[in-house]
Amino acid sequence: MSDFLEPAPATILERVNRDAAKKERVFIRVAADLDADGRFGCRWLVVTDRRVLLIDRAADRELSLHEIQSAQLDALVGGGRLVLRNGNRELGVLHFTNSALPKFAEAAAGIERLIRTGEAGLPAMVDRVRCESCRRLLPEKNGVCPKCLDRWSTVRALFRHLAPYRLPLLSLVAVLAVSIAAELAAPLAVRQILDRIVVPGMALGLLAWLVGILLAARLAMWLCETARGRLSVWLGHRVTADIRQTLFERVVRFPMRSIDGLSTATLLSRFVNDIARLEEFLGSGAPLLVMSALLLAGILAVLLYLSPSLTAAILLPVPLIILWTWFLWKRLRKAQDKQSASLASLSVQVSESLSGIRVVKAFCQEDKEYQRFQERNDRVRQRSAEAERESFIFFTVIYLLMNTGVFLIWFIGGRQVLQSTLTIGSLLAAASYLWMLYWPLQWFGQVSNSLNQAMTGAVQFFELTDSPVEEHCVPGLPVRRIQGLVRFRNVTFGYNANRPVLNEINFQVEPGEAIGIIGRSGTGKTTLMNLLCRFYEADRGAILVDGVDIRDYRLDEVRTQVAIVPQETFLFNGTIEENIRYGRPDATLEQIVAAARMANAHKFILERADGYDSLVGAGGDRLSGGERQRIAIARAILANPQILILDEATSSLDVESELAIQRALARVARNRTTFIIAHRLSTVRNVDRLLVLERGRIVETGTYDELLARKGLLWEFATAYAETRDLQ
Amino acid sequence: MATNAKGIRLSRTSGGGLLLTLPDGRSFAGIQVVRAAPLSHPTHYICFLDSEGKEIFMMRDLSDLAPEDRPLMEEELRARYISSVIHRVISLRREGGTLYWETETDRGFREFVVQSSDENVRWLGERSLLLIDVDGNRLTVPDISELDRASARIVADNLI
Repeated sequence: MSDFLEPAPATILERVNRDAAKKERVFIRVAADLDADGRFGCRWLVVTDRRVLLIDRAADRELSLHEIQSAQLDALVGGGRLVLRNGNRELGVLHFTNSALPKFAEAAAGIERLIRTGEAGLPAMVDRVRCESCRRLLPEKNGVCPKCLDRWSTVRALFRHLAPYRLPLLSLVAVLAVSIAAELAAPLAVRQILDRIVVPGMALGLLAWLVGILLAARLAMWLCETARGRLSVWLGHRVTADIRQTLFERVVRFPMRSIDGLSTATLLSRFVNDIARLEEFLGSGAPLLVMSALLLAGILAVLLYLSPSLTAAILLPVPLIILWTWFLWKRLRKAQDKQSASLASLSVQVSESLSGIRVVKAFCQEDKEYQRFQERNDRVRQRSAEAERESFIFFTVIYLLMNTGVFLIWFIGGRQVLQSTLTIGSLLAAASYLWMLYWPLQWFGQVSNSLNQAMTGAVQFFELTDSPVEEHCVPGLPVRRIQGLVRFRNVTFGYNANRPVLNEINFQVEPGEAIGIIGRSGTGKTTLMNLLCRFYEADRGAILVDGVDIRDYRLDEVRTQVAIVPQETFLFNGTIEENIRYGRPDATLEQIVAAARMANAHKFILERADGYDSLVGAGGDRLSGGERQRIAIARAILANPQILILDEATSSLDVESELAIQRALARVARNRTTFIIAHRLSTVRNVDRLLVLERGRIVETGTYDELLARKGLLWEFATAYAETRDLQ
Repeated sequence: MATNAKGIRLSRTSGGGLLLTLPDGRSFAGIQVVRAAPLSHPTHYICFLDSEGKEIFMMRDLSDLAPEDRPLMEEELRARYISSVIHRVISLRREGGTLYWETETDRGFREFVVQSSDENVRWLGERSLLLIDVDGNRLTVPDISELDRASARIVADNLI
């Protein structure tokens, strides 16, 4: 059992300890972010084994734990409140915003448990909304702080993924080095031509040589450029494909709880957006970054060699260029973001108006749609003009600044030529290097942005790949053949710790028994079976199969011998045969047909032109609901499990086909334990025993007729069911 | 289901809940007050729900309520709708699709993060703005043009 304690300032701790007569145990200490007047502030809730304290700036309220009979959490709009009650009397109320709601939901459940059992039983983790080191608010709960992310460990992790490509990587660096050398060589050759040939009028042979060097340099640059492009693109795609593969492999092995915690949108964004950024960075950003750095170093070295004083003059506008880029690049980006957002909203409107064109026409709202379009179109025009203006200003000023360098170099260099301290060739070479120098400089300002995004993407990504996965076979666990004796012992479980779905479930099922599970929707029927499949682990209590705790089985043994036909049947895009075969890839067609026969699916499959080779379409949308269900049942039967779970698996079928399937199942189910969850009572008419669930507890067990005679919940369902049948 | 609120009375029970008494003498304890359209009509169309969540009746206009009951009603609404009104924007940073705000609101200083999207940054008409931060908290700017110049500029510069 752990406690639920938030770090609190010393004054608060003092106030808790001040009037504590004896040592007491503090279970819960959390801060609400609204004070008694509803202003943002701080109010502490402290729960010990004897008292509950509400500590405000001004006053403390102290309640004895015995007084409190209930701790209720009310969700309000934009926040919530915790009400401590004794009967109908409110003893204390605490308000908070949505930011604090999750922890107070835990706290409320903890107080309730404390009152009943004397233990709070709370998670030790409180959600992180701020970065722990720089206190900055995080863009995602428990996410990565973009400012403090550990760049080096991420870079190292990236390098691990690059390691298999050491050779191409090295050749890429070599290519870059050659291309830079060639780029640097060209102006030097020109300098020689000017200084040795044109001015003094010397040998033609040397001229031919020098021009040859120029030509070779250009050729080398061109070749290297092509090679660089191909290599870096190839590498970028390769590495990102690897990373994507790793991510996918990990994600499919995550436990269900972790998968529930990730929204599909978040996962998709990891797979698509973050990887795209990483890919862009690895493919073009990183090589350019390396190249620019090398080029800068090379140019500076050559310039210093040509003339240190000229170099100083050239470097004069550099700080200005860097500053300008630094300041204005963000503005430019913002304007471009706005422009693309306005375009997006325009296209959303077009597609909406056009896809709803019947409604538009039916209600004569063409004019209104026209006006809405006009507004958005105007906005696109404005935003585009703004973006253009920003980019115009940005680049003109950059050019202007670069040109000051040109003026400086011609003036200072020209004077040095007049004084004969510099040759004309050197001056011209320095002038060409000037342009080569400035471009990478202003490019650095831009790359920092894409570098940041790529890094954040990479961090989030490695965080996912580093999360724990399910172990399919823990070494040391023996392979066990399941007989089908199932026992739930005091099982309590909830998807959120503050709201248990199942409470103290106890029952036993003999091998080969067919059990029906009924109850209103949301009472935990599916959850019960999810636990048996070990999609989730019980919070308390144990599930025993053949007398052994389910956690002591190898996970793959459990999953292959317990088959479930879930409520929402899912078919993969492919043929009927592939879908039935899914759980048992080595099955022969005879076995597949036998399973389909048992599932009452054989007949409709044969009616199709392509029989078992018919395509089911995306998500099985070419089949009707009942057909999909029968294929899912065939899939489960083919897997030949010892325990079969049908979760509303025949709900879309007519009663006759349902009966046919049940008879077929009964024939082969002699020693197979079957669980059937159903809404329709006719589905569970013939099972051996029924479990009736109500609010997460088993309230009745027995055969259908026994329960009917008892006039309990099942009888209520049966009467209501008969009434609806009369209506039809 | 009357929409005329004349003659209804609100009071606090000793337990702390809200008690509604109708003109015909019927009374309901532990009621809730809910705005039908909290964004577009915050002071109109207020529904009274009983403790089971079933509607007792809807009041068309908050000012129909007896003046002496109105503070109680407002207190209850303020407790239920925990959204804040931004008076001043101290700073606003945009990083990629994330907006970092520091604001002065009717409930005091508040720092929050908004993932920029049409759902989280909602324009209610030309000049009124609703922000929903990453935790699901609600902050509003009822009228951009009533902000001080610096705040209005920050908002206009950063929001699309």
